[in-house]
Amino acid sequence: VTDGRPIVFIIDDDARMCDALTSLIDSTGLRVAAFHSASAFLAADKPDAPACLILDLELPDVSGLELQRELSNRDAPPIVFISGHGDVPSSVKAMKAGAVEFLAKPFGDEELLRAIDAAVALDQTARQTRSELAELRRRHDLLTPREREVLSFVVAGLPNKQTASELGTSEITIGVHRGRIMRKMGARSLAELVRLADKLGAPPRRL
Amino acid sequence: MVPRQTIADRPELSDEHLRLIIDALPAQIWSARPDGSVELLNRRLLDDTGLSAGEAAGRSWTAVVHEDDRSRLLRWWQTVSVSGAPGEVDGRLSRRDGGHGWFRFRWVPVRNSSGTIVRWCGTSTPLDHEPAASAPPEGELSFRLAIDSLPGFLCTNTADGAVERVNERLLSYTGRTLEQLKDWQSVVHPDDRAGVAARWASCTATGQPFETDVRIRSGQGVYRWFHNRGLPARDLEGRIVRWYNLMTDIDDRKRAEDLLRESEQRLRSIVDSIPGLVATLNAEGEILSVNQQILSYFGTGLAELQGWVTSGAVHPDDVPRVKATWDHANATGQPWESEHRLRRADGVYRWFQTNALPLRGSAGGVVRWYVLVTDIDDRRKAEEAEARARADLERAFERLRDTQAQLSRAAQIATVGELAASIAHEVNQPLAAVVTNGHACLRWLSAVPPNREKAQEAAERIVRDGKDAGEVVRRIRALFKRAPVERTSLDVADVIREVVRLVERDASNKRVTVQTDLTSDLPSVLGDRLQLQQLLLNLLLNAFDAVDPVLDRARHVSIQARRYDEATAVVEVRDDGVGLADPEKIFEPFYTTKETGMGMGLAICRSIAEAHEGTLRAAPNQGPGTTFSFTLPLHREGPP
Repeated sequence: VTDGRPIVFIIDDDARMCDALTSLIDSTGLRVAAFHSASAFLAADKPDAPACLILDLELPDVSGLELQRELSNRDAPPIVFISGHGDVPSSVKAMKAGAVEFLAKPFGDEELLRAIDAAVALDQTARQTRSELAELRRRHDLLTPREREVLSFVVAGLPNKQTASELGTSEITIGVHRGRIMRKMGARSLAELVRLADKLGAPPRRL
Repeated sequence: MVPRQTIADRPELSDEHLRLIIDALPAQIWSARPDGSVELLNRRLLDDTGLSAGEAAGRSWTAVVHEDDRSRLLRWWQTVSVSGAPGEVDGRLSRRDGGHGWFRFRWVPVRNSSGTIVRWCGTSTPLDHEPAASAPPEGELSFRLAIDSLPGFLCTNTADGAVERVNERLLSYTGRTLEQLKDWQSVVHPDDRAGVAARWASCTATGQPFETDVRIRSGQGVYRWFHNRGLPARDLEGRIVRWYNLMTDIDDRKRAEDLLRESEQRLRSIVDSIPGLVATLNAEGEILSVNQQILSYFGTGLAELQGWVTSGAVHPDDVPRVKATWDHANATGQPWESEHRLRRADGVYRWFQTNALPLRGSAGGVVRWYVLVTDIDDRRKAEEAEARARADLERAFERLRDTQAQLSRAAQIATVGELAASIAHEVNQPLAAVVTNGHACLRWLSAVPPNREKAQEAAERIVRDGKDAGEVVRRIRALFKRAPVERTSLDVADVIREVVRLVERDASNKRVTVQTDLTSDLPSVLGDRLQLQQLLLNLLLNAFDAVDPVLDRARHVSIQARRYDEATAVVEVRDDGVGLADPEKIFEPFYTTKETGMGMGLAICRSIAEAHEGTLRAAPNQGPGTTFSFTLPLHREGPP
């Protein structure tokens, strides 16, 4: 489970297609896991690794498009659609909803593998961003309520002196708060602190 | 002698002749004007009394009687002249011998055609003896008789208006004594009291005749209407000595009048309250009367409405029509009606319906038009809205019918198309697996080092899935062969006509003329209506496609159905299109000459024909194009 290699999920109700795809992807050295229905995929334990999802448009339980919609609010892997019908309206919908690629069966191996590479790369970036943000949140949670208040003034660009007068305290106290905030947030400069606060979505004080 | 003839009936008698007769009559004859002044006395009277004509002329006849009788006779006369009833009274006249004698005077009124007294005629007859002194004086008795027999109430008043005497009828009607009636106002209806009292006071002051309608209470407490007429009696010097009031019962007339007035009022209020405009016109179209609604609607007076056709009351667009209607009605005298807009006081035009009925005079000509004008604006607008809604609905229905026709056609075509698509999918699935396995196999083989085991597995799957694809195709063929066909007796011409109707629009869009040639005595065939229609539809659409590239001539497709032999009918679909390279190959599955086709259509068509124990063939025409023909078994009556 601790294996960090990217994994490709396949959901196709046709067992022959699952077998063929598994073999093809296996040949590239990627991990692969195949499911015959959307519910089987949703119920399965998934490793914490960069991933992509090869999704058949026509599924017996939930259609591919419905599953895509359902997954859109989670940190789900990017999707490569495959379909037996060259259905243009569905492909447009799928692409608009953020699919990486839409492939009509039968497709060439190069097409598929390129799409998988792109999808995995997207997921890696997304995972990176997510973990950075989680780390920032963890650090922000360490701040005391007073420090968060001071942070909002700092982000708004107020000098210590003015912040002190706004909060009814001394400039020295604000300086101490600020030092602690920089340390807890892991910021090496004021500019970095402002950037981190922006990433977090911490609001600057409105004046 | 001419019996039962009066002098008036004898125009040949001259005035002189009559005068001679009157003078010769053995009776004393008087004639007096309505005021009692002497007009004429006959010779016999002058001779008996020694009066001279000049002495009596112009004076009251009572002035020539004995001076002791004058005031009594004057009183009597006043009563009689007011009542207008014949009467008699005794009095003394001078005699030729110088003394006085008693006479009985009889007076009768002479009236003109309208009933007004124009003169009085009288006689005086000598009495043998003086009337009995013990009996009430003759005049008094006569007065009583007269006034009590009068068909009305009589009342005499002093010059200042106080009740003096009344007749018996008034006493019995009111149930009061004379003493009680001195307060005459107590029997007058409270509503009339003040007005009558004021009038009476004014008349007694001025001497003007007193005339009024008044309600008087009976002893039973019922009020009845009376017409009261009072005249003053004057003495010789012209001073009023007394008033004579005569009260005539006019209750029945009054009630009838009231009823009439009430009914008139009711009629008027009906006319004014009916929800329409009412007018009467004369024959020339001049407005005689209108109800209140007309005045309120137009906000003008009657005068401004004259010439209503062209005076701006009627909407300018409607004027010619209304004018024509009116002219026609005027010429024929027939009832007329018209619908037009009329301008309301605020300038808004509303729709009205006018109905006019003529009233004809005795000569048959129209003397009046009775016109009822009804506001139909709301109804008319509702009708217009309804008509619009109906038109919209019709259009919607038409669209719906179009859509339905298109849909049903689409559904028919889709049956074949969908089938083809689902077949394609069925074949495509194993095919896609084969391709993917092929790629996987190649990758395992080209890996460093090659993974023979994995490659072999993939190759095995290729074989397996390839077989699957073949199985699918075989299954589909079996499906068509075994497809349960519901065969019934069909009129093949009917089936063809239905399909032709389905493709009519398609044909006209593609500028293809579809011609049908159906033998009228074509016997029934055995078949599945829907499948045969699918077959025909497919052949027709193929034919349309075949003629589509034709640009240099008209595009023709024809369908012919006829008997082929004793047991078979044949249907031919002939196009003059581009023709076929290989008429047999086209029936193979997945063979297509079209860019977008699946290549399944004709294969299915042939399987349908075969399922009907028939054949489907294609043959090139002598000229351009191809003819597709299929045979169907005839339906044989009775057991085979």
